[in-house]
Amino acid sequence: MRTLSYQKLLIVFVVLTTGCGNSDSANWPGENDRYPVIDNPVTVEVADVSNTIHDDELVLGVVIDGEARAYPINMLTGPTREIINDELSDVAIAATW
Amino acid sequence: MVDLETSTFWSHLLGKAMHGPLEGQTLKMINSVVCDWKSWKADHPQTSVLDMVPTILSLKDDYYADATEYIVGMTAKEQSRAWQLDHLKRSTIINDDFNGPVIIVHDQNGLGTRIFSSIMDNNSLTFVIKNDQMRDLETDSTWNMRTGEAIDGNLKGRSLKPLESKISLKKAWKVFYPESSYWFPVKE
Repeated sequence: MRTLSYQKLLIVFVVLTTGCGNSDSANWPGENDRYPVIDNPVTVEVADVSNTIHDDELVLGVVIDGEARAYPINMLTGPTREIINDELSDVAIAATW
Repeated sequence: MVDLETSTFWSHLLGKAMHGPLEGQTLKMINSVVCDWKSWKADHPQTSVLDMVPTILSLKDDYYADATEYIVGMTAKEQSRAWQLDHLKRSTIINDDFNGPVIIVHDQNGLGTRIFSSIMDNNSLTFVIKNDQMRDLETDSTWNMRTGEAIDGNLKGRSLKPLESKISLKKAWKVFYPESSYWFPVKE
């Protein structure tokens, strides 16, 4: 099975009404069911968020080639936010929650 | 989850294309952790942070308070294994074997749970909590349980290899990995 990296894809979240196991195309959501794409998100340095992100808040953290990024879960909650198309250390990634 | 380029539908948890032109393909999973902001910025002082308006203000480190509902899982060579979060909260460290010796480490203060290979120089290390520190029995080196780096002792400066893992609702894991094995503590 060929493995793809996230970098080739822009991913959006759709409402799946029947789950992922059914390959019948009539049950899969169409383009009108898709939420807007989030890509090229704005990121800031630690000093810029000292008053807005609390120490006990959950974050999704990732490090690629020594470069670290955190995605506060409070910003990823809700169907319009569950996938962040991003790039870190020249690697395109999809941060999903 | 769908990609715009091919309109293929993907499973979040599996990272696998379930329907569409890329059906059967698998995305490359990148190691990550869910933890508290305080410990993340302590370990990564140069980190960048997503900047969006929060949609909810209540997701804090008590999110996993009902630890019986969650597992930490990993996959290797078409197999899967999971460790229940309530067991990890009681044990902090679990030494196990899945595709090789592994340790599952739960940071009681920062919440994050991480999996490392416990192989060092072709030898398997056994880890315990001693005086509130993570130590290995073979060399008594002290380790940073979040980074997997030895901070004192004979192995100071050496690092355990982190392994990709996922934290999930147990019921979801059972659906997507019906053949998964589960770790359980040995009854005394």
